[in-house]
Amino acid sequence: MPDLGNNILVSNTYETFTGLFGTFSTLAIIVGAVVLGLMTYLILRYRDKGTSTQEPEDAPTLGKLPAERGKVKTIAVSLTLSTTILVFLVFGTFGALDNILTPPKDAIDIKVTAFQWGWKFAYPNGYEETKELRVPVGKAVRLIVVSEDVFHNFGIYDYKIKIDAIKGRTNHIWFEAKQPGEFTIQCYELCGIGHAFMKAKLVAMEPGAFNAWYSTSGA
Amino acid sequence: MKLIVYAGVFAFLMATTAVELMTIGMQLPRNILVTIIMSTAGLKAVVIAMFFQHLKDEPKALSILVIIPIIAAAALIGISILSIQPFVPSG
Amino acid sequence: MVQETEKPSVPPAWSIKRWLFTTNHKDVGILYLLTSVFFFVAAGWLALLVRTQLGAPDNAFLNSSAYNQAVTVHGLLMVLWFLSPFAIGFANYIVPLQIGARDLAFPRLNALSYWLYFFSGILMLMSFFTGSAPDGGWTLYSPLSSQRYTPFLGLNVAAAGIIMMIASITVGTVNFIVTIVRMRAPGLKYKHLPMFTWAMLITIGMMLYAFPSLLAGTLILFADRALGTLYFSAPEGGAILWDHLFWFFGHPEVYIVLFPAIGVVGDILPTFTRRPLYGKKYIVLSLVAAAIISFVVWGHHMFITGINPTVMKLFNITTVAVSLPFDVITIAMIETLVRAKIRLKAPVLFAIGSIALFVIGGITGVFLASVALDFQLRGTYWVVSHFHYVMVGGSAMALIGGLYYWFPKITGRMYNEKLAKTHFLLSFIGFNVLYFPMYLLLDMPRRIVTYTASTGWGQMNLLATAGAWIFGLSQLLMFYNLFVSMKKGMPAGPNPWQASTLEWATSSPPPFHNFDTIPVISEGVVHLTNGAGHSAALGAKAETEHVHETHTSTWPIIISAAAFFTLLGLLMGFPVLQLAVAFGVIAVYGYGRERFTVRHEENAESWPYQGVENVKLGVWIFLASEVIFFSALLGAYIFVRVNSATWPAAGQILSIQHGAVNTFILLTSSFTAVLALVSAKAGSRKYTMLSLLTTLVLGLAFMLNKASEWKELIEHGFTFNSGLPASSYFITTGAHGVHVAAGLATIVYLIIRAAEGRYTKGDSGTIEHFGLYWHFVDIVWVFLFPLFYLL
Repeated sequence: MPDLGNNILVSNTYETFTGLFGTFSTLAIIVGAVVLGLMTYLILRYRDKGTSTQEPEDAPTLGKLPAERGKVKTIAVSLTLSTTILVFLVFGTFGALDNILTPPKDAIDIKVTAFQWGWKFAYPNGYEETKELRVPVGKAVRLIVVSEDVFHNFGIYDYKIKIDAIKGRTNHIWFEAKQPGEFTIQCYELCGIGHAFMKAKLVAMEPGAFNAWYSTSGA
Repeated sequence: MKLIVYAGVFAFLMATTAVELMTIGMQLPRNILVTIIMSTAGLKAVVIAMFFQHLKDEPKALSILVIIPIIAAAALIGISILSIQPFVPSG
Repeated sequence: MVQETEKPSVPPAWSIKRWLFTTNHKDVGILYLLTSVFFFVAAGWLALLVRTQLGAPDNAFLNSSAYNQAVTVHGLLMVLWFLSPFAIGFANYIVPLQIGARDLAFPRLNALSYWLYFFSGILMLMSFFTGSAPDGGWTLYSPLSSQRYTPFLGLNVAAAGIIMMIASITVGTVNFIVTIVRMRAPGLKYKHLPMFTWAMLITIGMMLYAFPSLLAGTLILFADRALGTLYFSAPEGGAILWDHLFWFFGHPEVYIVLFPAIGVVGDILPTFTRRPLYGKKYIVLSLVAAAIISFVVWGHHMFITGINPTVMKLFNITTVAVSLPFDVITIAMIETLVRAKIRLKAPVLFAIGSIALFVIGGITGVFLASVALDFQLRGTYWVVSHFHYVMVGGSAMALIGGLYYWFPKITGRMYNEKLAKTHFLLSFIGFNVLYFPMYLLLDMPRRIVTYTASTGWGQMNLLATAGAWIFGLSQLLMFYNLFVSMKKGMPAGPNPWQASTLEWATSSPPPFHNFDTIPVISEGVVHLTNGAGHSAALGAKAETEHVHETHTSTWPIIISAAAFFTLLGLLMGFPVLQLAVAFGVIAVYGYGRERFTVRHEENAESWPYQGVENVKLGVWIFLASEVIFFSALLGAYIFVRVNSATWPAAGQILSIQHGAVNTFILLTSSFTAVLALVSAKAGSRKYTMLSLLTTLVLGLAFMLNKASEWKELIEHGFTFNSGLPASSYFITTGAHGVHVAAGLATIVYLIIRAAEGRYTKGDSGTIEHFGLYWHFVDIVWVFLFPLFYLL
């Protein structure tokens, strides 16, 4: 299983992602194991052990077109199985998607501007800064993400969430921090030589501490 | 094919072009104007393909060869236009 | 390597002349294989540099710029200059043999295709020596790729290389479709085609419709960078427009590199398992289905660009749907193993290995189809791992299997089995050590030059780097093995694997003309008169007379060189450009006049294009690709126009009068082109010449009117870089104008030939083919005129 961090519920988006990812992974491992297991078994079972010179009846022969082989039933059964699994996964996806796309009405709007190579965060009270994005725990935050120059991607990997930052477009993403702590914000789209270093810090604060900081900062 | 048919097609193409030019002088609402002009262009294209490129006398498979990319291109243009309107999520 | 037989006109295999001027499909196939392997080594070396840099946190082995160039060129070379051309190399060599043909339909075009590819690769590599190679990722995302953020000439040179590469692909698609569709041996129906030929036919079909979109995108990029147009640097076009044009090509491209591999596996499996392929019919249907769906899934590359949720969900569903055909293919391949007698030789090991890796790559791709998961997985090493499992595991591994499989056919000698098995084992293990850890790095961003130790990504990266070196070095075993075996291997004989497809029915290597007599298939039996395992009961009509086919031409390499210098000339200006264009015109003229005989089998299978002769079908296939090209250009224009807040009204800048006059001129010229054909068919040289001359004059009038219009506009400040209305106008009408100019050059050629007495003695085909093109150019204008002038 891929490393999903320390298993502490750090944000609602982390919860959404890990839930869905878990479902996908479980099914993927089962399907993968069955298919690869079957292949391995068949190879071992039917490999040419050199014990007989007898060829299968329909063995390919030069000068003869190969016989038609294959039952619709086998194909249909396999298709039905995978369609069922996929439909189930699509429904799971769409459920999670609604969650990702629908921020609560009372979310705090923070504008994020990407540039080569850094991030600018602008709060409703007019306060701006580039090093840290401070958010309160337990309150939804809606980020309004734009770019000043090239194609960037705003991502917080502990929160399992990201969104493209594109010049000429205004994109949105939201999350709710569940635990205080510091996390890394990083760019996920190659944006030039500073790409790897286009980082900032996300600081999730207890609501009291956040309010105290917020009321003294800015305008 | 008879020369007279080609001459007729040519006359038709000239006439439809004249119609296009007259239509834009008519102060029509934008949607209607775009529809008329683009359908006329489409009609002209089909006529050229059918007669001048004599697709109507060729195996259907030849027409299919060029209809496939038209469908694919329609998907490309249609969906790219759909994607312009950015999505603003709100509660 | 290819046997010299009765043709003294063909230079021998050791002569350089032979390899520069050959048009024989087997020679060209070998050239393709060797050149693509060279790019495989080059791109692989870049990958090793990248992996070495990432082996440890905070590493400073490469700086950001070098790293970005290595990553970018690695991707471009592997996808465009290795995987596809490698498959095309096999297709060149094997497809005509598998369908019982003597060569491809247009042997000279095939050589042209190769040399365009060769020179395009040189352009790509030249970019390293012109400031900086492309460094914005192989996807060339805009606006990072615009002049402002990437001010190096290198990207222009590389873009020119990509344009030339696409020209090569287009020429190749025309050739392969005509060949497979119209040159099958008598009785060889589609249902009898071997899996490899089937897969290539479908691959080529996808190429035909996918690449023109990349061509349109790259041309616009090139114009933006070299002429200062604004498509991708303006936010109204910018990132999203490039995304559409690129990924409309990009997703089919994934299957374009994968399908030939499926074909190779489909041929290897029956041979080594000694059972016919299970459900071949369903495999073919699945390939067709996947090919169609692949054109409507590109939006999954844009899930989080802020497109609206309906579009997201639509693409989520199509992307999930496209995995179903692959499910059928995998199941059928696995089912083939049941009650088989599997001879575990190197080719089948690679084939089965590639199925296993493809299963993993496919399943992890389903994660990426999920738009909700994409909000996390996008841009991470999960993606990197997924597509390497598909493209290296699924595709490259199978193609390497194909190399072992067909090596005895191509060289006439066996490779060393023990070394080959060791190669398989090491590369399979190396592959998984390299790529599996990347699935566990699902937080790590792609394309970062380094990371800090605190991320905890160090261990998995170290493992991946170790795997990369194992995988990379293991390839040396193959090179050594094949190189030594080419001279010293055991003689292979015609059919060392007891395979059933036609390429094994002739000697190894096959003679120049492939078969002494063309095989005939009836009632499930192949009737041959040469090679092993034949049954000559019915026998083909013995061909006593020898048609003297031509197997060399000097023009393809010269035309390609001229194209190379023309593209360089676009960047260097006078006099390189003018000289190169003049040189090119002479070369094309020489090509046109060259006597080149191709033997055509009268009774070849040609459904559904009976009666549509090869050249005409070729012209139509080319025009089909042009439909996508111009639609993409017009789509780009419509996109920026809809996306712009303001746009000049009709008649405000562009003169309706100019446009209308040109419309009447071009429509009339189409009519006179028709008259030329009618006169030629009627046998009247006088009227043929007169009609052609009128068409030429009208075409020139169109160009002059256009030129005066451009001049006026530019004098009034409506220039390439004065805004999107100007940029889109100049690029679109410019592309159309180039097509008109090419048509005019063709008319001049036709007039010269007509004056020499051609075309009026029942040989009017060339005039008809020109007409098809000319009317197409007319149709494009029929849309350009209202879209730019009237609306």
